[in-house]
Amino acid sequence: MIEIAATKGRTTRPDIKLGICGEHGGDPASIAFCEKTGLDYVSASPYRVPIARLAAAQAALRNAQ
Amino acid sequence: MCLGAWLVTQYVYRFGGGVDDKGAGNKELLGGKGANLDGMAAIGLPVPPGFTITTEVCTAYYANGEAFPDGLTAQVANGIAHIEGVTGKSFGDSANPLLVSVRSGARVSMPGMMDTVLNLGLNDKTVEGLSSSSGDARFAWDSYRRFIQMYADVVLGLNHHAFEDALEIAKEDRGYFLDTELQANDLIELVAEYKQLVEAEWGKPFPQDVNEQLWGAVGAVFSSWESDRAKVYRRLNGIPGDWGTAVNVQAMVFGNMGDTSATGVAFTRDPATGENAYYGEYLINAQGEDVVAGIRTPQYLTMAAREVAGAKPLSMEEAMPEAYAELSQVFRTLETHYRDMQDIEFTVERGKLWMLQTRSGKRTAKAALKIAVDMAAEGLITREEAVCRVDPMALDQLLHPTLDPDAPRDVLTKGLPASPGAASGQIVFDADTAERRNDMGESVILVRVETSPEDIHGMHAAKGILTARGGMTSHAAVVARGMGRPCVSGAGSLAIDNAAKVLRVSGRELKEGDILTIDGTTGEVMAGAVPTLQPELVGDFGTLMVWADAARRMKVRANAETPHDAQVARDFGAEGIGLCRTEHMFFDAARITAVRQMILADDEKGRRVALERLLPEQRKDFAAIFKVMAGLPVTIRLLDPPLHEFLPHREEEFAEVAEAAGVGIETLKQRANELHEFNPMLGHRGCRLGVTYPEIYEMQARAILRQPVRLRWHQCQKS
Repeated sequence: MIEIAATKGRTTRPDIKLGICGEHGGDPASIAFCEKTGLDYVSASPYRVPIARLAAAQAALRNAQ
Repeated sequence: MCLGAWLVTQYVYRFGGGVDDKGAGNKELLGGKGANLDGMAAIGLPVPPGFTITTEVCTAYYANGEAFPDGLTAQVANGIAHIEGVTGKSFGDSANPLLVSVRSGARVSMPGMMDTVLNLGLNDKTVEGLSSSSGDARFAWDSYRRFIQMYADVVLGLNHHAFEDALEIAKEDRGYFLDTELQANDLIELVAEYKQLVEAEWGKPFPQDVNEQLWGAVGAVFSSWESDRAKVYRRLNGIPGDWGTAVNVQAMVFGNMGDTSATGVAFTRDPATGENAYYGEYLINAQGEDVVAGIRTPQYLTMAAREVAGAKPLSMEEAMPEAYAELSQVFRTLETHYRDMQDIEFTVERGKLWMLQTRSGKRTAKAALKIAVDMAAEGLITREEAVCRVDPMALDQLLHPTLDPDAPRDVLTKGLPASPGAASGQIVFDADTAERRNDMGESVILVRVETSPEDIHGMHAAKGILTARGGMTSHAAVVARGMGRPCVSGAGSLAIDNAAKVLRVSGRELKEGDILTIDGTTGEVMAGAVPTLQPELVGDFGTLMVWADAARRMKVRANAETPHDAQVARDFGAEGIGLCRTEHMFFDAARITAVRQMILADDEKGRRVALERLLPEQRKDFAAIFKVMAGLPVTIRLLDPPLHEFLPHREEEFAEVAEAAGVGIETLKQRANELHEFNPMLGHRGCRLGVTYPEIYEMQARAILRQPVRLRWHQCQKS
């Protein structure tokens, strides 16, 4: 559903800003999915922000490989 | 080569003595331990010769109804012949017998979860051969005694307590305290007693055929893959059941051949702090299980560590300088080759160093950060690799409050700082109670004399672990570090009475349910709960986050709805708020009356009167959050929950609320009833609420927009 929303949203408006919030925003596996889907940001609970920063970096590095 | 040979699956990979079956690095096939032994042998490190039976055999073993595949027998015989060739000893030979170890080894390390058999190949004849070839009858009979005990436990599944009792009685009868006081003649008698125990319990004599012993042990290792404790460990660590384990058969080397022999475990860097200093423990004249079992207190590896601890028994650096020098050379070779911190097991046999195992060492989050940052600085790995070396979820350990150093502490005793972090909770004395109380939402500290693999579920449920016995590499310490639980081990002054469920220390008595605090960073054990401090992103943590930010594409925002949460998020590097809920602002005790007035109003006019009262409060909420976020994006969710959530639920609340809101109690009940919804998730909320009562969102929009408009106005005034 996130993929469909992202694809269709971008077809209509290429520069639309897309992000995810809630518990998924702080979960490394979900963050890896968001990176692949090309979302602009993830939103995590405050104490999980560093986890999300590191997980987003790892997702970007692994995606580039 | 004939055609037939091409069709034979290779089940056995040999290593050591310059023989290499080209299986190196294949953890899927050889298991972690087998791949590492093969790898160590390939880079020229001193590894006792041996062979690995692949994980595919384990899978086939279970697929065939616990039977070995065809052709394995011949390949194993070929493997034994390889070991015989390199060592010059013969399996089952009465003059110069070969002894082997049989160990499990899955793709990933599962410490203490599966079975091992040592000294295999001893029988009534070979023990005499070992005695004369080693020139040490005591050693030979002690090895045989250990082998029967281990084989009976692991392979035959007999009750190990019977053997431990026999050993204790043998010592008592002779007035000894230590195992090492038993002489050759004592051990010969003990072996005879052990053999009788086996025959009585198993119904057959202890197997004298060395090949029968070998196949029994191989089968036991495969069977241990499906043991309950291994299954629990796999479930907790997300390890698939169909991976299987490999079996490693290797020439025995002996750390118990007198005072020039020793055995030990070591990390190439400190697994608790990450400091670049060799870290480990060893025991002179001992076998591997003596170090981890916590029976004897191990000695330090380095002189520096011994001096810091103020310990008297000589470090390995001082007692065995030559073997230590070779070991430290091996440490450097291993880190250069594997480019990671290694956890190794070694044995010194009569002054000669042998490497038994190496693997990437488990470490705390703090150590993971330091090691990654240090290794990047040393040029061993790149910054990008450093970023990928740290498990994001492990950071969770560091993002929780630590004990306030200035807070008063009622220190009861001090143990070893086995796994860092602080934890407070109710004392529990067994794993089942730990799990049960945790399920009820209580924080518990698991207090044990020492832990064993049967305690895993309780360790997982506990906030922290405290043991009276065991060193920094004891079961409790290793498992706690892996799970990220704070742990204090070896707090020797604790007297634990499991039956009465009390703990006595320093003349005081604590019972189950009493609150205890442990600090796994310092080893302190305190009565009661101790106040804590917020964590900060400084030092190695800060450095790694800078490197991570350089590699990152996506922005990271926070879910925050109070200025405090927003500030914490900013301090942790959030680049805005991705979700700011507003419903909790409406639940605020000072505002709930106005909110209820709004809900209970008969018409729009009445609602607007109540909303006017809420507007200034709501403005303050957003002004404070915008101030903290200083121009960063903030995504706000307008009031979303079903309205009945704001009305009272309990009978005694109705009267109070009715009076405060200025309506009759019946009106209130009726309204609450009207608002009650069958499926609130899809009910009158969100945009539907916005359509029916647009004035609520109008108020929120005014409150939100005022602050940015004011800021912009100020900016215009200045320019």
